[in-house]
Amino acid sequence: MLRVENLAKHFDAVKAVNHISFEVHQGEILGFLGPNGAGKTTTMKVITGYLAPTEGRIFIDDKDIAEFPLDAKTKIGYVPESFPLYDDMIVYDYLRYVAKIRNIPADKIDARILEVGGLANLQSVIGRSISELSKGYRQRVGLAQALIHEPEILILDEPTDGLDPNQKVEIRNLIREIGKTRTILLSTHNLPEVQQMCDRVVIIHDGQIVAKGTPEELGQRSTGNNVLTIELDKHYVDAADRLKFVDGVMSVKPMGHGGEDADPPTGFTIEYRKDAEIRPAVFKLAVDQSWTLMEMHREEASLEDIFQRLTTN
Amino acid sequence: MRNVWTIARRDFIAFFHSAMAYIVVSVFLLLTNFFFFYSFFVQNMADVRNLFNLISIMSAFFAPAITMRLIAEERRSRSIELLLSFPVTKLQVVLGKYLAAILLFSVMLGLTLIGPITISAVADLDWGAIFGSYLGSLLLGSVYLGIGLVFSTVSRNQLVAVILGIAACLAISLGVEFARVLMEGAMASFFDYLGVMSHFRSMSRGVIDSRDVIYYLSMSSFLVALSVYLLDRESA
Repeated sequence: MLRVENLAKHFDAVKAVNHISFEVHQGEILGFLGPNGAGKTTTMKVITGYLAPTEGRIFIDDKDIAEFPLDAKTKIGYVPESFPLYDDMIVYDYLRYVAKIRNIPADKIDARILEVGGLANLQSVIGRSISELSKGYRQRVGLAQALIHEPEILILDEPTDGLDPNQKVEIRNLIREIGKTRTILLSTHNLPEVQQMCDRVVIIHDGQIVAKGTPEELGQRSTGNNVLTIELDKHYVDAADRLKFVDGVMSVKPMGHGGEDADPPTGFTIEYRKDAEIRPAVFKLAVDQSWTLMEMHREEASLEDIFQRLTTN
Repeated sequence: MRNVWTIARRDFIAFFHSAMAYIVVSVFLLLTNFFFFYSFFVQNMADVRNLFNLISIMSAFFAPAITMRLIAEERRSRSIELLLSFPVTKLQVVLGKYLAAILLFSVMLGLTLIGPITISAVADLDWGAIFGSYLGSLLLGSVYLGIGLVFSTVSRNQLVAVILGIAACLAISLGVEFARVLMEGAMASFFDYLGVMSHFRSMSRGVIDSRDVIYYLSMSSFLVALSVYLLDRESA
């Protein structure tokens, strides 16, 4: 329901967004992932109508937002980065103000405030001045104002930015809940968040899209191999060589700094084929050789990996 | 339009949430009344013309103070990004804030009535001239507010906005007056028309000449349009 076609945004010589195209389908939560400065916020500012594109077009429900700006803005709920609000207002007054600007009929305003206030858990602060609120509550007021007119699509710029871990969890659950009935486009540079919340991911770097897909698809694209790390009780001279013979193992590397003064390694990083399961064989090898296996940890191909590979030059 | 009023109402009330409105209004009244009554009794005449001369000068300083945070603050806190994502046009935003400023200015002007009303208890005043003077003051103030609005739109810093605003207001009033005195002939009458003071003077005589009203309304419209253009350039 949101389509970005060949979008480019230049600020003088800087190409903040350099010809990107993507779609957000009805009812999905799309994660816009990228390092700081990649162009996520700029893209969102163009979609919400604050900035005009240098090139390209944006369609909401197949209507060009350049031709039908007010129509598009009616369908969007936006929470910008750092959730800017009017500090001098009381939460209730602020929501009332947004409701009026959003053309909600006067007799429905209180009901809507009640509803979004309940959804965003603002009951305890509804009468407080916004300047007194913690970041977590400010974020929720931001979400409430974005939802008050029941928009078709929510656009959230780094919704968990600056929140403490508990608040992050709360907001993620809230977003997932909201996502059941609405389309959401959110940006983040926090990978676990993406895996927890998003149906699909678009990875952006230096103003260009470098990957698109579901978190699983992208995870599979990362390395061809998996990694198993093991730790033995002490150094065994032949351990590395014996491990190499386990079926499926591609390489065995000792863990640790190396160097002449370093302790001889007791741990190894074993790279093995994706479809292989080497843990039972490694365990059995340890038993046969009378090694004591202290730790065995499997690292699967991850989103983190592909993110790093695609976004570092 | 409804949006203009919603925005105007919010910004007007916001003036009173900070110390801003209270300080600006009370200091304005304090200074104006002080200087007026200082010379009033010496004159020994029931003449309030001096009051309006004072108001016109004070406005050049206080109008930019009223408008300084209108748009500059929104840009600094980035709440302007959210505001412009609402189904409102930039014109509605500018007009709404302009209207809020004019309303506050009107409150300030209205409170100066206390002078003439008190004096009229003991003497006869030319209320026709007074009405013309207040109208002239409001129109003059609107132009100053428009100038302040333009500077609030281009600067992110409120201090810069107010200083440049005051400078521009003084330029268009006293500066032009100065130029007019120095020039001769056609140039003199050019500056005469361009400056805000000559139109103010003719209105204070109680004569509401449409040419003067049109001048002020045109200037205000131009300044609003300029603000919208500058706001637009921000996002281009």
